[in-house]
Amino acid sequence: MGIRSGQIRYRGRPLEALPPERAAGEIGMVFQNPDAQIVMDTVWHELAFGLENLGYPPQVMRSRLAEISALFGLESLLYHPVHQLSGGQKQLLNLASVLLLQPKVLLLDEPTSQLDPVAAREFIQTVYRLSEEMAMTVIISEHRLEEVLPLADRVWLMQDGVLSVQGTPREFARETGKAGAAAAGMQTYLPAATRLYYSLSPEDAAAGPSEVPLTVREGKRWLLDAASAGRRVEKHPMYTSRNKHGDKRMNSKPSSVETTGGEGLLHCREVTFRYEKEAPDVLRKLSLSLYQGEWLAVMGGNGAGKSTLLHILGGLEKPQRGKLSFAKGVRAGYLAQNPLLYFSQDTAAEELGHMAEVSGLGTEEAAREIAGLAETFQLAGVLEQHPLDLSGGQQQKLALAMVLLLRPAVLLLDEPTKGLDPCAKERFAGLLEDLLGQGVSIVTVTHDVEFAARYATRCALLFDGSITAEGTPAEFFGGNYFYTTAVNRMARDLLPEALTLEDVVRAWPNTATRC
Amino acid sequence: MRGGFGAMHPAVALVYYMGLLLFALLQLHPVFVLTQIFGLVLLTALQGQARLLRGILLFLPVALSVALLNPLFSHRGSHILFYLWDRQITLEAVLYGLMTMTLLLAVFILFISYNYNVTADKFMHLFAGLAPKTALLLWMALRFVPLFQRRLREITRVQRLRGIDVGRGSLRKRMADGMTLLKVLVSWSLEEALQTADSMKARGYGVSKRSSYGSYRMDRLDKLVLLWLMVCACVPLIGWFGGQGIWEVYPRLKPMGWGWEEGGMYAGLCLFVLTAPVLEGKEKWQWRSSRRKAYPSATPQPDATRFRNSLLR
Amino acid sequence: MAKYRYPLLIALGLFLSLLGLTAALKDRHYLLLSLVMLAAALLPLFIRLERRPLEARELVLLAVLAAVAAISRIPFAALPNVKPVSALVILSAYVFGAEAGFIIGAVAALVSNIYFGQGPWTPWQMFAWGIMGLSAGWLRSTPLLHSRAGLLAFGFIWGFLFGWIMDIWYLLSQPDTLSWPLAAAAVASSFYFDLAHAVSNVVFLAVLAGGWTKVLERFRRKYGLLKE
Repeated sequence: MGIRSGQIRYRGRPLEALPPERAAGEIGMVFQNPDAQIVMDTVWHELAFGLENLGYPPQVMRSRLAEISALFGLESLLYHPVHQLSGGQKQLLNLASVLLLQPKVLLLDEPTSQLDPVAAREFIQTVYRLSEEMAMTVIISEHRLEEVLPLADRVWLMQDGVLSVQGTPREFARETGKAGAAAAGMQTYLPAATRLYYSLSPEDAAAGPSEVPLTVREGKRWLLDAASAGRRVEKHPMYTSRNKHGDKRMNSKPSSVETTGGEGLLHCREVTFRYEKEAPDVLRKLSLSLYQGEWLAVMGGNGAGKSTLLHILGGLEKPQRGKLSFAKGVRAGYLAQNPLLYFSQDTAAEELGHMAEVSGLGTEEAAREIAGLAETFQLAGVLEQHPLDLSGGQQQKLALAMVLLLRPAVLLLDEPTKGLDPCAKERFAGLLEDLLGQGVSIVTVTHDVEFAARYATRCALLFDGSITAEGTPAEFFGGNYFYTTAVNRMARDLLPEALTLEDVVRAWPNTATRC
Repeated sequence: MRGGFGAMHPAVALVYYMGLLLFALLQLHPVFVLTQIFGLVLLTALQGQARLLRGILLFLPVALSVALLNPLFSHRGSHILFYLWDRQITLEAVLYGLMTMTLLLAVFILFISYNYNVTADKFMHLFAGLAPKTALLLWMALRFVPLFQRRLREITRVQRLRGIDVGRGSLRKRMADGMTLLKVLVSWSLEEALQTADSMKARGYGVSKRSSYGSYRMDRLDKLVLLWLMVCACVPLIGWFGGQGIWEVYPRLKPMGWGWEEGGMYAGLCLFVLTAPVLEGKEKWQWRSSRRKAYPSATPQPDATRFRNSLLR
Repeated sequence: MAKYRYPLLIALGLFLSLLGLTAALKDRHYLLLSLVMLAAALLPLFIRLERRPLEARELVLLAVLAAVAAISRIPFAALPNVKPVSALVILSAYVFGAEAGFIIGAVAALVSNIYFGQGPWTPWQMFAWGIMGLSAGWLRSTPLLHSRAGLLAFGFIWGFLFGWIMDIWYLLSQPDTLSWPLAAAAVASSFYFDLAHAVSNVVFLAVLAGGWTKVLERFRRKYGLLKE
């Protein structure tokens, strides 16, 4: 259970001395997983749950429910079963049911890590509005800082259980930015504008904190100022880089589908799919091809059918119409969002062993293969543990290792970056790039624009049941106005095709010579 | 939202169905039981759910077997129809069997109607006040059912990749595979359940005695109907205590006399039984007439379900 | 209204038992009386649940296991007559004890009936599965359930006991013919169902007792749940 020393005080009193009904009422908490927090079966009942616990009389509950429903616009959903809500709606419901107790302090534990960007933004904005209008104290733990950081009053950085940086957002940005190589990992937590600022002008780090840009707006203004202050920007050709990703991108990436050198691995032709007879079509006459050595990122809104598309490609569902064909001997491996779906044995080693058996590997071959995978995925130390006792990242890697034992030539990944912090994301991307190097082609469906822009070789947009746009990241995002990376939104006037920090850095002549 | 009887306070529905069940279990005269069946069928038809009655086919074998078995096993009664395997088959036993069959059918139809009208929500509303903790447990289990069904679908899909598939292999393997799927479900769900528990604690579970919210309020009509039902129910019950309203089959068939007592009992039962269909019919009739007159410009509503999920965002 | 809830309820209970008793004595109509007795048997255990302080974790655990048991027939839709509810109830009781076993069994029956339709069988199922869990919990520390053969025999016997309990309401609905031959006929007619139930219990317990108890034990240890 753990040992605790020291004391936590709430309004001058030790937390333990706080009567439980006051603690429950005044300190509200929202957790990561939207589904796991819901206790009751319908929206109204979930809202009433906390009030019931504290024994409020029905009249009070009624008026509070009315108030909160109006605030959150929940009236039309009041009698819905909770399982009909989307993830974002569920999380807002969780927030609302905590707010019903009228807390003075709101604790949020990575509340948006399981949400898509649109829902995440809405959630953060709602919290912000509350803290502004109700003067409520909000403590939020988060590693997706793009939205949150500019809104916060104070920021703490926790490292290995120690508070290493604290201050206002700008102070935090400056501290983290100038920390240099030692804290290089920490810089990935900063918003894109700040990272852009530091990678283009490290010598400005000495400037006052008020100058450090935090938002896209500030970043863009700074960038334009800096450019007009005499630093000429070469517009084209922009890529003349020594960067690892950049190299790969320039050399191997086809500029469009037709010119692809790789051979086609799988083709979807006019696939139509729905889950039930009466249900609407999820996919409608969708056509898509995947070529050898590609990393294809399929993007799209919530409920656009991205996961369904992966199910079809992975052979988990059969389309009602259309054809799905693989090149000879090509197998697809599917990694679902939730690694827990894969675990049914008592130890990680047994999981891998069982999978090797299914895959038809011989004993020796299996042992060699498993050892190799455990090595690559840094699982060797935890092979004898129960899969459910591993950390989230390890579980994901274990599941991936299991899928890889099937020797797929195509890897289908459903939202592989969801819930990962920036460092873990980079490490995971590194693993995937190695696989790509070994000749495995990858399809990811993702909401993560930055991730797709940085690593994919081709992007496709799934909308209204079919692929409506596709192309290289530069083509794909360069043409978008809203649906593109933060860096692109800042730099587009100068460098319309720059999507990532590296792109900008490379095209920024002063920096290129300096580093 | 449903109007009429379906929209009444849960207590009304519960008293109604409990009364009907009670009358059936007291084995009143078959005419009484047939009246109950008629009332329930009428109610179901008025609610536009006549297709639900097809469910009765499932129970027909049970009911028929009672009608058949009774004369075979019971040899009481004085009107011997014929002999089968040296046993006498009596008219009384046949009639008694038929009576029991009717009764069972009445009970089955009662439950069909009950399942439609008393949703889990209503049942629990009544229950929550009595046994808050049990009710909470039930609510949570009810919330988990659709969630687990969805998870089970996902698990089935993914585990099929590992060769775990209930649709394939020997019976033993299929059973084992099914249990493996459930094991994955239970591990995953227990893991998440700990977060559910944390969220419950954060919202004050267990700090004081729970109250219950209840989205149903008893209005004047509910109270009136409740009182009415109770008064109506008393008449047949009092009669039954007085030994009236029963069709005596054994030891010998004795047709029930229809005196004023029986007439009163029957009238009470009819009024009780017909309360629900009348409420439902009134609602139906209101809408029929008002749709013609009051809202000439009312346009038919398109199916809203497709857009429902996007309302919040 | 709330003030009078308990007195009203007690009055109603007394009234129904009186009615049931009268019916049983007068015309040998046992059905009503049996329902009253069933309620009387289930009530103390539920009252204990109400009275006992229950941690949020324990409550959620019970709800999860009951819900899993309630939907457990879904994966086996392709296999008629194979229902793992009993095996799950026995295993849960084996790990978490008699009271938890009872609650899980009874609530699973109620929940699955709320979803798949209530009927006159609901209270009987609640009773049968509840008592199944209760008995498994009672016997869990005896050598009987600790030996594999004992556990399997327990599952086998309960397959039949369950069927017989479910026969009761059918038998009681025919008070006139209530006799040993009729009981025998009823038992004989449901023999194959009961046998299938018993055998599938044995198979489930034989194949999976290990895996399932390990999963449940792990949770019990990890979170110190439901210590008795």
